[in-house]
Amino acid sequence: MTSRRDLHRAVDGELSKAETRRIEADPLSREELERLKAVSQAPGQVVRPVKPSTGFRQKVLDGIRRTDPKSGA
Amino acid sequence: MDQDPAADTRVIARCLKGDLNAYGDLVDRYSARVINMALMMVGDRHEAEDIAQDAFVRAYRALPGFRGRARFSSWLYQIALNLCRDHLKRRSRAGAAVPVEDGTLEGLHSGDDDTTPDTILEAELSETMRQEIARLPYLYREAFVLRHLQGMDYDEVSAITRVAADTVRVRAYRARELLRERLANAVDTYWREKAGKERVK
Repeated sequence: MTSRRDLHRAVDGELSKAETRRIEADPLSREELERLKAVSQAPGQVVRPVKPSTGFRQKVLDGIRRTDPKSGA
Repeated sequence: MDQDPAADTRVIARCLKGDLNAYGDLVDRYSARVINMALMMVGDRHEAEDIAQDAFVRAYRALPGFRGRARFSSWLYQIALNLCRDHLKRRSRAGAAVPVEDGTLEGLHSGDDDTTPDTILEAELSETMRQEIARLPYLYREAFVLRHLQGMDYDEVSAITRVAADTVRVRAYRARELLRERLANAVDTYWREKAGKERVK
């Protein structure tokens, strides 16, 4: 069975192709690797990014003007 | 990450000459990323926007001291993360519960009115993930969010959090282990159903 450390290094793409092939040749290791990859990659694909609310830029610039009068109101 | 440090440097030079509207371009470029990072760290959209706003204001005030050794974006993330930590400390002292943003509602709030079964399934998984990420211990959450949601490599995360890259790596490993335990069923179901639908198509 592949060590957990090597599985995580494989998720991060830090193993050589030969080492990755060795992991994938073992069904249990391969399954575990797929699980870890899914958990790592799914958030980036599934968690919906929020958009800044309308006027966010203006709020920031107003905040700067309030605290720094030299900033050119 | 899709950034252009040279473009940032040019904009910063204009800001330092007093062009506040130029700074607005940096706000436009990075606001979504900073807000999303803060949302993952503090779990509440309004608090995340307040933190992001504060981070941009502080970054502007500190621009004359910005030496450009790190990317502007890394420096900005560092400021925002420090504000997240301070915010969570204050909340902890006040004994407040950790809020978790409702991912399903969030999709609807952002103007996404697609409610096909695929979208609903994704929205459910999205919400489950947000909740589980919010439950991670703070340092693991920080490493996981920067690595996997912001797409940074370990050296970038190390520069922002000011801890060794190997420490960041171990924290990300531990976050993944915890999430694997807690999310394996939800992720398996999602991928299985998605793969089934792909085959039908």
